[in-house]
Amino acid sequence: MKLNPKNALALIPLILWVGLVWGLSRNWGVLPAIGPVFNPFSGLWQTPKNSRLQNREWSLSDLNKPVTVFWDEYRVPHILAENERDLAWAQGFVHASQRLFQMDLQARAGGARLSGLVGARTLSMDQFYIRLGLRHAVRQSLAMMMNDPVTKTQIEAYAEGVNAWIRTRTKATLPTEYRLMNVWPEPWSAQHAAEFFVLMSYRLSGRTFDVPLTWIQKKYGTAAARDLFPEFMPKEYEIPIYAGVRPKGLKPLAADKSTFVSDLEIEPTLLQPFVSNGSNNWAVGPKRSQTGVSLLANDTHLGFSMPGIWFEQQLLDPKTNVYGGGFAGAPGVMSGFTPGAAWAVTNGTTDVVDWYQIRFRDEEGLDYQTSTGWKAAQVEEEVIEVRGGDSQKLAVPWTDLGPLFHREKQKGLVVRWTLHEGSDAIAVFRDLNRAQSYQDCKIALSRFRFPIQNFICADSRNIGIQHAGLIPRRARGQGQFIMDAMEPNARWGSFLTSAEWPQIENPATQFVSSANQRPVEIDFPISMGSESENYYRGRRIWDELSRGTVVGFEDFVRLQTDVLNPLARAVLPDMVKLLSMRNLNDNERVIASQMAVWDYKDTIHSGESSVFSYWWTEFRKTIWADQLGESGKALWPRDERLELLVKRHNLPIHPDQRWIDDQNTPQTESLSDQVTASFKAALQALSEQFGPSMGKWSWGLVRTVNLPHVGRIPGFEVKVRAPGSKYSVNAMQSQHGPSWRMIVSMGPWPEAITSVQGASGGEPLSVDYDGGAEGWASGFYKQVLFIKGEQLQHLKQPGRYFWRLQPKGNP
Amino acid sequence: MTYVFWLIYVLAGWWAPWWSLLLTAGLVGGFSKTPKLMLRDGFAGGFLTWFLLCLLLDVQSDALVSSRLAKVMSLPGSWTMLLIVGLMAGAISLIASILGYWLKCCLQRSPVSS
Repeated sequence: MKLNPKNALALIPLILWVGLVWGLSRNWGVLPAIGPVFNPFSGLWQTPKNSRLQNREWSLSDLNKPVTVFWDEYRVPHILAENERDLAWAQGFVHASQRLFQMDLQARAGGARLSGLVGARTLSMDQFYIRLGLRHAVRQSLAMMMNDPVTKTQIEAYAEGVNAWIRTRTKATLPTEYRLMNVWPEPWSAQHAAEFFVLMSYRLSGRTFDVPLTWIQKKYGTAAARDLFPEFMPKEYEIPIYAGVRPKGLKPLAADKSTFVSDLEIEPTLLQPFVSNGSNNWAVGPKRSQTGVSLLANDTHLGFSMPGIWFEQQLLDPKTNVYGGGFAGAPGVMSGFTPGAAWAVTNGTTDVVDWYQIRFRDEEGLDYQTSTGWKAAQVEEEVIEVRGGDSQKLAVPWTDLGPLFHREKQKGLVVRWTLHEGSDAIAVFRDLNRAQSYQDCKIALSRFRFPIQNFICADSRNIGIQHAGLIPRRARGQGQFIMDAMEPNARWGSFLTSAEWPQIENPATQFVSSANQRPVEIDFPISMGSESENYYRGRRIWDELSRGTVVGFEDFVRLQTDVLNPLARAVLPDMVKLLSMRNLNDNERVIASQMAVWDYKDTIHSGESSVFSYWWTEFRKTIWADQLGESGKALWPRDERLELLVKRHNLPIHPDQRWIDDQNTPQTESLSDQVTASFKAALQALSEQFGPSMGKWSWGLVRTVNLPHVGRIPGFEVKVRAPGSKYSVNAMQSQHGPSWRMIVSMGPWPEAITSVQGASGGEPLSVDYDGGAEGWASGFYKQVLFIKGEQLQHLKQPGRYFWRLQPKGNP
Repeated sequence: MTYVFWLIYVLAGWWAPWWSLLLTAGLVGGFSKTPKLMLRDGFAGGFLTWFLLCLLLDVQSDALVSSRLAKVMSLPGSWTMLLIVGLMAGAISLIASILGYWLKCCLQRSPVSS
């Protein structure tokens, strides 16, 4: 058969056929590859079967000794290894088996490399993170981790474990997200662990109000800015975590007298992540505990996601037996307990981010002014890979204070952040995971650097709390606004030593607690900044625990799930009193009288909760928006400052009249006018969204809790109804809240109950994906199975599974 | 005759790559006697094999995959999702069998030289 023009025509259908195969094997925009993704034989239809947990034998190279993974009926893995290297390796393997996509996404976010997976959509976010110095922080932290031979072994073994899991995958058994995107996961390395810690530290220590506050300072003066964002509120609005604490030898610094006001034109856009990240922890000593030993509680509030941020696990090797919440992406347990000690964390809201204005020699160059003359900023060249596009370059000049974030010709804005100093958090948590006493716990924490946490340590007889991390030695008032880099006092002296950290040990009251409120009192020798969370949760916890009664598990559960709204209780009676009744219609008057008799509980059935929430939101807007700008683009004072504004209504001349009056109207509004107007606006908004009848405004319907997919793929989110609010101890918000709850009684052998949002299985098309969401939302706890290694063989029962990880070549 | 091809496809599909659908459809087109039969068997084969097999698998996990994917694609529900997957398979299978028929025609018309 010769090739002549006529039968060459037969090539056309053949070529078209090949083109069809090719075209259906790849993604077109958001449309996934139809052939491999939707076919019945190897497509997504097989995923529920492939991802089902079952007993398995794995034969794996580069594992030294056999490892057993015991999955209990709540899908919590208990990992038993014969040495610490294999334990880290197996954690990598197990974490990847449940959470590979989440791990990948989080590490890339922390390393400002998200665009390499997602594409140009996240480019501006990567650039923002690089300008804040996140990549620099990753390099610093990684260098410190690799400098410790044990940490190095741990994170390298962890990475090998992740890679071993990826090698067990085929295109048909990859997590659904990768299949929809049609990409193969990148190999894991030690760097990913550093990236993950930097991301967490960014989220937790990145609170910084300096730039928007400087905008307020420029517009209304330093005194007004300090009045709206006081370092300390009047005493009745303070419930300091470390009340009365004066660390020995800590010398006071002279107050900051600087009159510098930055003349940068930068927009006051908020430069701060997730302000609502927070947590609660508390503990009672043996004398106040029904179990006769210390009782400790922790609930941590991070952004919700599917799968959840926390990864519950037990880790066992000859030197370690630890149970608790960790994170997929790094080895170790971060909130948990061992047979001898337990610890609990809340975010310490001490200000660790400061902004400085610098002066360049000319409009283009990089020489900047210092007290010893001109100095050249060092440029760090960064490359950002972009999926489906050209990689982008970004050059970041670094001064001796930190990276240049923003430049206006000769003027520049640089940021200094403890994050840039780097940290080997892996080593700290490794020691913590082996602590067998209160003292061990304290010693382990003495090396902790960031993000600053209020760590409660407990063993059966002792309890204590400390504000651990790099705390800059700063004078009162320093670091609230953009500072002058040339002012020698504006620079941080040094960091407090661990002995100088605020701390309390075995107090006479037999309890310690924290909830992200201001850590210290006004006469503490140095400044901790003015960026703490509202004090409402802290107040409620302190009130409950200071009753002095003997308490047990049930009391702690009741407190963790407590839905009393302390803000409403404090402010609502005054607000109802301030309502101008003659300006309300009949229906509004009925609702107002109902609000007056509300029990202040944010339950899912409460319509009053919805009214209060909408009312307070409208009221905040009414008071602040006209002068401080619309929400999201500017900074509004904390709720406790607004509460103070309401409480001052009895004063003959209201000191906050300039804020109360709406600047956009010719007439002068009174507090009563604004309370009434916001009440009407709130009811109007509720009627429009949920219908005119208050019966339809139940809190569970009005404020749904959304658990979005970790990669924000629409359709993979889970929605639940849950009680609680931003102000209650049960700090449930629409996308933030208690994602991990733990209560531990330290005993001869610890007993614990936990509740976790988005349990271990992260595969969106697995039967376990949304399992437990409803139970968690309604406050269900499970009894923890805290085992000894030798018990493993006796734990077989239906619903539990064993993985046997065998080194290849060994029988 | 073409039923045999589809039967082989359903059995071999568990090991073969996903594009065995297009291969089978091409063969079905090539061996079809009339264009009308080609169109019918090409479409129906792809539609029925994918729709029924996906349905079978989906039922085993209580419509987990179809309902979650339907949410991702903003479709009303499981049945729509399954139907759309079936229709997609029918459509691409139809194109492949047209190509098969076309190839056969090219080869038949071409003079065979010795």
